[in-house]
Amino acid sequence: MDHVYALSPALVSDVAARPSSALNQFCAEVRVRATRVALIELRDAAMAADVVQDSLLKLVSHYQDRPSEEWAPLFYSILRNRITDMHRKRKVEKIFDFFFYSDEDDDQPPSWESVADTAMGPEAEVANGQLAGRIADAISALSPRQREAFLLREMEGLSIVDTAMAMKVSEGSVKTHHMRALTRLRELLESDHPAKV
Amino acid sequence: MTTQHHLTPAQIDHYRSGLASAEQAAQMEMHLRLCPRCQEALQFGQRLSAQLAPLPQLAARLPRRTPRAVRWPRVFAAGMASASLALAVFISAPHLTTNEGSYPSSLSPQVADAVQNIEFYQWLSNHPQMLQQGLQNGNPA
Repeated sequence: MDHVYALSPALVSDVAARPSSALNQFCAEVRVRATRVALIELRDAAMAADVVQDSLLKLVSHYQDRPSEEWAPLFYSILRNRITDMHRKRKVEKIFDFFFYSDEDDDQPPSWESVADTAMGPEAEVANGQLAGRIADAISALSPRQREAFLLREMEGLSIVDTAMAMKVSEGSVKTHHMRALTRLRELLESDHPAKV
Repeated sequence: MTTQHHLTPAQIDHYRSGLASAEQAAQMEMHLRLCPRCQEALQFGQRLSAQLAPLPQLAARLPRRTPRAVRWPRVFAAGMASASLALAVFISAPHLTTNEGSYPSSLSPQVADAVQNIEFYQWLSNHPQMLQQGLQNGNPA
């Protein structure tokens, strides 16, 4: 049975590239977590959804014949490249900012926590949103490598070998970045609100 | 390492990230099996990841990016500046180029003569006796 988050057959134009049910299941499961990763990196819901969709399509059209254990590292490797492309595109756009009005004129994008603070609704829901915002801000404060190692190891649950493959670095480097990310997050979150995390 | 002495966050992170040696890891695993508090501390990263679940709802509240709109006055000003520069270069170009064989009118006749007959003067400098002879004959060369 196709999952609600699975790739639409209409999007996969090549009949031979129609995903198998196992791959469809993988796409459905990974999409939610991958969207969170892309949101932290890009801070734009539409852009994050596009990047995740593009990455899934590339995985399905190029790598569906690979063993299923390789899908996660391959997918995150593709996603990482797409996110890097988006950052580069923004940098190029910034060069021509003199000729354009844009949101980038504002000093800094709002923090996740400040967005959560404006929420209305049941108290528990608002509190969860604020906690998520605080955690997202702390994760955003990590270096890109530390952030990547943390998200792949902790959120996606990839092994050290798979994380190294996705990040295109050595296993030792993954361990070091992961360790530093955990230490930094403890510092950031526990010094801020020790009781809430 | 007993349940009375809990692991420090640094030790837990060291183990969790895979940096602990096999011996250290074995000791920690033994402790972790018996200590719920340290087990909970070990789940720190996973707990954070799980608590990110409301992130898409927060993202929906982020201010929407407006499409980039062209600032026409700035484009016009830049266009005018470029056109003026191009015009200035076009107008001054004939004065900047020189034709081979002709010399700017600002050069004195002596300098122009020296440049045109440079080989002769080089030869003359290597034959000072010819210069003396020329001067004696009243030729100022």
